[in-house]
Amino acid sequence: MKNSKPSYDFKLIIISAILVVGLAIAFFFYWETTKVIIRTVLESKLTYFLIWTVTVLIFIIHYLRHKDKEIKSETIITKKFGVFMDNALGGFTYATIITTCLTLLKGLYIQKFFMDKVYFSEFNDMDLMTVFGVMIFLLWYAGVKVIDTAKETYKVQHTEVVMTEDKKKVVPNDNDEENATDKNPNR
Amino acid sequence: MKLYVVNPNNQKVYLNLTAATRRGLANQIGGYNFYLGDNLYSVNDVWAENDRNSTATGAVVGGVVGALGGPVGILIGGLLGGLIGNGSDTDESSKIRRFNNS
Repeated sequence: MKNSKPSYDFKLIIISAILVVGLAIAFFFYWETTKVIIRTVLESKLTYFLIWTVTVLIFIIHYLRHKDKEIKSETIITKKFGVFMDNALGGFTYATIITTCLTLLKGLYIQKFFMDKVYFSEFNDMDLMTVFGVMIFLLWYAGVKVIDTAKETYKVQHTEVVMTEDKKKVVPNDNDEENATDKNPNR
Repeated sequence: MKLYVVNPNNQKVYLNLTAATRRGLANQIGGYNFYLGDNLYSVNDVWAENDRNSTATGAVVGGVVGALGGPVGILIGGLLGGLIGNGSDTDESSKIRRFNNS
């Protein structure tokens, strides 16, 4: 069987590119204003509260929906800790990563662009650049993971439980993907 | 990667299972035919698709995170995020092709 349909969603990629370029142009012309807006957002307690709450909720809903429908999907942290730890408590991990990254980046941002507060007095430029790079990557990684989890949570709604011909539920098997071809199906 | 069938109403219905190939899927089910709700399908009706679009997500998140570095930061963040996400999509694409060609 052949399927020549591309697996990329080019429409979404083009919209994302337009969004990023549009944001860059807007920032270029209103940089001084946006600097102040970014500072206000980073210093607001509401930002951290919302990020933390929304992230934890996404993961808890994800866990509950997956549990109800016995979905087999990729692990969020690691299978070693079990499904509850992986799915439900994953939210606490990612929420903490995001808010901690933002707190450190807030310090770096204000120190670098406003210079009215010094958060890292004992750090030299190299240390600050390293902290900045690592925090940016962690923030990106955690942000992508949370969005992926939210998309999957939404998709679970449209998922059905597979049943055999005699209407018995098929339980997802963790070892199916690589080893399945060695076994023989009934037909 | 998500597996789906198209139901009689022409809507995609996702399976709660994943497999590398159609044969692998049949092994999990224990046969080539299966029910989703009241509708009977064959594993040959099942298709795989990318459910993540990591390129787009990576680019947008990269752009937002890069905003801390100004306009150039947005562009670099968006580009790097998109490139990293694309790596993940490419890997996913080969899995999808493998399933759909099985």
